[in-house]
Amino acid sequence: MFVLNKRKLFLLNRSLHRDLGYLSIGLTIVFAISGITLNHHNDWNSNYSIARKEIKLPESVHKERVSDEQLLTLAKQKFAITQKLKGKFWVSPNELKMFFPSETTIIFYKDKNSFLFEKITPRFLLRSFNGLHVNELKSYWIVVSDIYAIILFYLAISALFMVKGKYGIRGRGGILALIGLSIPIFFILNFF
Amino acid sequence: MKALLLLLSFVSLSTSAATEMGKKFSTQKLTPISKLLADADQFNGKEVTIKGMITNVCSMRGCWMEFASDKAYQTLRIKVRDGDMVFPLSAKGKLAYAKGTLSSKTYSKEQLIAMKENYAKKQNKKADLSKITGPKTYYQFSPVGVRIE
Repeated sequence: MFVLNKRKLFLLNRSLHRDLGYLSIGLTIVFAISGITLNHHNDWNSNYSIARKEIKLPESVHKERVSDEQLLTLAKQKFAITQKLKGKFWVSPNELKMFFPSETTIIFYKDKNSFLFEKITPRFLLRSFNGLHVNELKSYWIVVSDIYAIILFYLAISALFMVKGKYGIRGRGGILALIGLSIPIFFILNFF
Repeated sequence: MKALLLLLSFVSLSTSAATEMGKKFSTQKLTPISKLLADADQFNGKEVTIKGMITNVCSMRGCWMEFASDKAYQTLRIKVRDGDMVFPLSAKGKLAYAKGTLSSKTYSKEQLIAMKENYAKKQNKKADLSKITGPKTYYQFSPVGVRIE
């Protein structure tokens, strides 16, 4: 019969910690990178890059009453757009939005007599990483991230028993673990 | 190499944003946005389905978007709690449906001024208070389901 003595438990814990650690590399990278970018979303849009260009229109556009069709033709000409219009909408008597495929919008401002060109491009990988972090996919991703959370919990606890001696839980490891624990405790006690 | 390709294919799969969010719903019976806003009190708390072209989307977290109304110059904000649904910025100009409830909040002139000043301070700009003449009611739609065509 297989008996788990202290030595065997110690080795099993190390092996599990090692293998689950390897298994978690990908997810940890995704959550670490997106964690930083989402923390700073007020300073930098990590989901999309938005290119904008404003051009003034000839005085004649302002003076004459141009139709929506004429504005559309002019906009396509100015920004070399060949695609068909997806939709348009007068947000106010002063502002017409024209939507094109490939995430392009051209806004006509009557008072400024100008076009604002806006093109949105999802950032490579970051858009997906952030989507995973905030659980946009729902369904199966919830299962994946729950399993990942359980693995992280196990990694944290099992780490306490990885090393014996002065670098282990009874030595430096224990001090470092206490410092680590005190960080969230400090913030919880002082800010909640 | 094969493992890397598998990983990349998984990542590319996750970028294809779902067009249906939240609960599934029928689009058979629609309430025009103009009617919803005109009779806001009557529709208070009632679940309705609306349709409109998406004219704007929150560029930071995708937590709100605006539907064009059937009435000129009128839009309605569709707002969710952060993370409940994430509206893709690429949805601008697309036709969408939403099922949910309308809510409203009225702000006094003083509250509006304070809000505007606070916002301008954050943006490091000077607040333009000339357009605030009195109290104002804001409407927003809280969806339980959204479908972007």
